[in-house]
Amino acid sequence: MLFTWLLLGGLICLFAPASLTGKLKLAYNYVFSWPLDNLSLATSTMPSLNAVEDDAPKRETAAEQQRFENDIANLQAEVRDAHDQIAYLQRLQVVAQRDRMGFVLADVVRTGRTQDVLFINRGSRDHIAVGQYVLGDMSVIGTISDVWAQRAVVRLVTDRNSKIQATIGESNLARVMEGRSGNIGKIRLVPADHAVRVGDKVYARKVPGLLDVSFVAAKVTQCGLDPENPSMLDITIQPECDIANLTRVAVIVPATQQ
Amino acid sequence: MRWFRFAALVLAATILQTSLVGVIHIWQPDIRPNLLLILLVFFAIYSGPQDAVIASFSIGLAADLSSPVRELMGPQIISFGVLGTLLSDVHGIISIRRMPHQAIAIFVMGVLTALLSYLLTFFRAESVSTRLSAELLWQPLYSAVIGPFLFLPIAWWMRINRKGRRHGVKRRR
Repeated sequence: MLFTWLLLGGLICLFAPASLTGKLKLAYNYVFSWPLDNLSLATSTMPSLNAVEDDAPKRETAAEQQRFENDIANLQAEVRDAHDQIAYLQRLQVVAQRDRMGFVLADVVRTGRTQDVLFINRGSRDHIAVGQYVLGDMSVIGTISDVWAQRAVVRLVTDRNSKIQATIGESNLARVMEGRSGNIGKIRLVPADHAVRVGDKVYARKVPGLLDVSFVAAKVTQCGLDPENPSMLDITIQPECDIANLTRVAVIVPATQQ
Repeated sequence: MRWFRFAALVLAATILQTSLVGVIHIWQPDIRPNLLLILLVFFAIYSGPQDAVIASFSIGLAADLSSPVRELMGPQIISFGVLGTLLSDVHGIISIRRMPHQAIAIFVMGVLTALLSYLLTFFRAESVSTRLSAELLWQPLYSAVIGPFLFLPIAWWMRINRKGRRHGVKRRR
C-alpha cells in the first residue's frame, strides 16, 4: 500500500506542469545555495584528476583572452574612428562663423543607382532634415532629399533635380547651379560680360539657417557662350570632391540640434 | 531506521553529488560516481522492506531535485522507488552481502534506473539527455567500483552493522 501511494506521488510529480516542479528545484537550489556555491567554488579551485580535462580550463582561459583581445581591438578601432571624427569636426569649425552651424558626421552606406544620390546612416533621430546641406571633403556635395529615422538620402549637386544657389569666384552674382548626369552641373543666365575662367571655384551661397557661410561646391570646367542665348554664358561645373570614393560626409544642422 | 540520520545522509550526498563529486571524475565530467545510487543499493540491502520502499522513493526525490539536466521531476522518483523496492525484495531471496555481489548490484541498478529514467523522460517528450553512455554505463561502473567501500562508513553512520542489524538491538531468542 505504501509503495502504491509513493508510486502515485512519483507519477503526479512526473505529470505535473514543469513550471510547478521547476519551482521545487528552484527552492532546493535556494535553500541549499550556500553549501552548493561554496563547494562548487572549492571544486573549481581543486586540481583535476585527469590530464585530458586539465586542458579544458586552459582552453577556456585562452578563449577568454581572445575575447578580451578582440574587445580591446574593437575599442581601439572605435577610438581611432572617434579621433578621425574629432579631427574632421575641428577642420570644419576652424572658421568662427561655422560655430553657428552644427555638423553631424555620417557614413556613406551606398550610392544610388544613378550615382547622383548617396545613402547615409543618419536620419531624423540625429536631427537630419530635408534641405540640409551635406559636406564631403570640406565641400558641399548636395542636400538632404529624403529622411527616415536612421537613414537619409543625399541629393548630389550633379543630380538633375538639384538646384543650389551658387556664386562663381569672387563675384557676388548668384545663380542656380543645376545638376546634369555624368558628374557635371550647369550654371546658366550669367551675363556674357562676366569674367569666368576655367578652374574658378563655385561656392554654395549662404542660406540663413541652413548654410551660414559659403562653402566651395564645385569648379568651372567649361565656359562658353550659350548657343541659344549668346548674351549669356554656358558654364559647366564639376564637384570639387571625388564623390565616388566618399566614405564619410558631414550634414550641416543648426548648432542647437547637434 | 534512524530517519534523522537518513535525511542528513541523503542531504549530504545530494549536495556532494552536485558539487564536490565532480572533482573525482575521470576522462569526462559526466563520468563520476553516483552517490545516491550507492545509497539506494545500501538501503535496499540493509533496511527492512517497508523502510527500503520509503528510502528508495526519498532518494529518488533527492536525485530528481539535484539533477542539473532534467527540467521535470518524477522519472528518478519512480525509477529509484520501483527498482529499489524490487532490489529489496530480491535481497529477501538472494543474499547480497559480499562486496563483488554488491558491486554487481550497484552496476545493474545503475543501468536499470538510468534506463527507466530515460524512458520516462522520453515519455514526457522533454529534451533527452545526450550523455546517455555516461549515465547508462560509465556512472554505474564507477559507482560499482567505489560503492562497496562506502558501505562501511554509511553503515557506521546509520548504526547498522554489516549483518543487517542496528546497533543496540539485541537478537530475540
